[in-house]
Amino acid sequence: MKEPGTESGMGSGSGRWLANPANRVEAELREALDSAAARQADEVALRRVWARLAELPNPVLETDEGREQRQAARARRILWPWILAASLAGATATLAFMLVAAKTESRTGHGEQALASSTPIGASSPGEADGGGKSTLEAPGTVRTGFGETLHLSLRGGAEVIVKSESTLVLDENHGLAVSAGEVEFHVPHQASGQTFAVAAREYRVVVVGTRFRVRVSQTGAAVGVDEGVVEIWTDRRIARIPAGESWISTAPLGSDVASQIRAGSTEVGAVGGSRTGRATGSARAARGAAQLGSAGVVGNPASNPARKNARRMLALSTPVASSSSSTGSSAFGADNGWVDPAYLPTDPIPAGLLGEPPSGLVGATSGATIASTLHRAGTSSSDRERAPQIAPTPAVPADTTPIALQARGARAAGDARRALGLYRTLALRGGAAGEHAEYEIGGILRDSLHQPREAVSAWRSYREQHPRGLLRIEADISVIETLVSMGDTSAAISEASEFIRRYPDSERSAEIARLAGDLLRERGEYVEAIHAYDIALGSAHSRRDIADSASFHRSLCVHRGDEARGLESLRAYIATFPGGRFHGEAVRIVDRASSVVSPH
Amino acid sequence: MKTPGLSRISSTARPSDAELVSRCCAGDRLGWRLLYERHASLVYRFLAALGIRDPEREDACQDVFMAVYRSLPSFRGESQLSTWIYRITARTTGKLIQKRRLRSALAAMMLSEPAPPPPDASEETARNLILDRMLDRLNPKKRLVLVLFELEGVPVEEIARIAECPINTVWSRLHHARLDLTKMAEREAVQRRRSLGDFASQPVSRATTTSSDSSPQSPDPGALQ
Repeated sequence: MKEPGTESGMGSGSGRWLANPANRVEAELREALDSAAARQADEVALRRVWARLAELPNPVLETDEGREQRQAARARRILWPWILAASLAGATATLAFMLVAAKTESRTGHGEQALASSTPIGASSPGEADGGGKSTLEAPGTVRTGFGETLHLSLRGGAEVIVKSESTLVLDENHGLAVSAGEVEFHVPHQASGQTFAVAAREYRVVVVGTRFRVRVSQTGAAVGVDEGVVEIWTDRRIARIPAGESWISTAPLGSDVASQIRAGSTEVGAVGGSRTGRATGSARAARGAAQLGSAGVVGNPASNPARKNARRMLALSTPVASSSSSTGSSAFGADNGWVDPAYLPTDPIPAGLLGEPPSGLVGATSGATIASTLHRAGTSSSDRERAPQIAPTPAVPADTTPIALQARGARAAGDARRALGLYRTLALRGGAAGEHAEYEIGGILRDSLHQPREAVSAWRSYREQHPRGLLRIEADISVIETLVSMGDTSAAISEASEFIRRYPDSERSAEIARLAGDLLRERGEYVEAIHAYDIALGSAHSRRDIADSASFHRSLCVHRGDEARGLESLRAYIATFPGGRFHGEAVRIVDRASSVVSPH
Repeated sequence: MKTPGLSRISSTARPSDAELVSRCCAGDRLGWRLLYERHASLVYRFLAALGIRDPEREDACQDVFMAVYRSLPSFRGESQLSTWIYRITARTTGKLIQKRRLRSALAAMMLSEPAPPPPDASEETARNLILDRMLDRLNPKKRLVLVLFELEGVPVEEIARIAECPINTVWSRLHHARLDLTKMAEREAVQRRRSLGDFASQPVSRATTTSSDSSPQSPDPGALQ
């Protein structure tokens, strides 16, 4: 064997090792090294990594202080026997400090954090925020409540607001209100003639005259329960009018858990997904639907007020009712209510639109309407098509997504697909890179873990609509194609594949998709189109050897179907090009058979 | 790396590494994204060559870039940015491998002995798998030098900076790594020839998404195929 390194000179760095191999082993070793050197990074994986990096809140650059700390840490590692005792003492002190800090924090609750990032709301203090005092929300900004916390606020005009646990209320510069996340209860005094009170909830606007109602926003939609008075739901047109005792829930866009709209009251309209079954009244089913949508139980003491019975039917029927204290807020989500795992419920804020001026002249436009919640789906009358004011965009509420993302990944890795799905849906609400990534992952969970390929395709298509230029757009496209193929929906798969090739001719996956399209077309007997697809696969700069092998052989088969002579010629070319190819034997057989038929002697 | 979402940005401007570093240090997220786009492929491939397999590799890649981002202010520009990133990647890999060794013997065994190539693996895939297996058996220091020199094409002077050792040591490690690799390749070839009979006598199944017309093939009885 030749001495390794001699070609490279061992000191000069010039030349190539094994450039002139002495035997086959060396030649193949050189070939393997060249092949490894040409290996491309997995584009999909890189985008996944980027999505994860981008979802980290703010990767902090190392400051001088941080560097000094790191250097100090290195020094400590070197001198660890000497400083071990000091470290133990320090750890004890730190532990004691943490215990004290934890106690202090538990006393102040989350109110401090929420208020710190919020609008100045009068003289509110953390203690008051937790269900006690009442502050006035005047300046534009965002109010967020922590877990188990309830915040009572007054608004200009006399309206009173109860921001429930883990909810977000936004007041814009035009005094427009929006519920971004969670549940908020409104007590609105009767408005003067021509005046309305409006609240945005996702893409909907809730317009009232004078009433008491609650708005709940989740990752899949919005829900409104009316205690007193009349409420109207608007998008660009009026879609529902809800009298007292009725409730309304928006259509779930992802379509997996909530198949349709649900109407509270005695009639059941929509169907609710999920494995649990059983007899339930319309209200109970509505409550279940609300729970699936992420609605929380009513915080407070509803039993003390009979007027809230109807509202409770939507959100809290069969759900244990908790008091407004921070310690019991979680039980309102009731893991033991038999309907929904609290882990699936979204609790984080989402970006939402804000209202401009509330529409005037809408009150009573369709007085007497009763079953309003079905209008969204069933269409509306001409009088309902009045134009409402546009929603002005509002910036996303910044939030740390890392813990949820980690939890979601952990849940998925642990096989708890439903929990992972819930967490990803929560993340999806937040928008940004984390939300985008979560929207993509939802499709994966639906297909791979929950075996709902159709819903998975819907989820990925929804992702594409939301993020037409998203980082994971290519993955979504490919996932849709693969899923459609596995579902046997060849036509849709071919259509998607064609669109993919048209859209991403330079993608490293285009060759693979073109080959796939060729295979699908060939199976359908569309040989001309298949040849075209194989040509694209073969012509792609990213065509790997295995793809070229397969595409070349199957292209030859397609040619053979149309013109036997040309097909044989093409097969011979394949045999010559891919002597060790996967279809070499079959190609040889076809050629031999044809030769024997032509010249039996 | 062709990442549509990212390449759109890069097509408009092509800042230098120094420019990117200063932008990142100023907290520019776009600069950070461009830096990732420029070097992610390199890191990912290098991690693979150093023996970090999926799905661990994605996490490792993320760790590397977090370390890069945190330490960017300490980058003085004395070497190329890629050299500096190589060094961080090598350190991250070293830590990962150390952690790996502390795990159970079974896990260590599985990692050091990757599964043989599947019967339907392409020629190229099979060759890569065998090379990976041989690289796994190399001493980590030798492997680092060999990978940088042979696969990444990094000059010896830069390798010395990355490996934090003198240039002569790099040459020495490279020499021994090549010797070891050649010996392993010869052993691999002998084993392959011995098992050829069993291999050839079994039909090779092929799983494709759509094609039903397969043609069982015997693998090339070559040393690395």
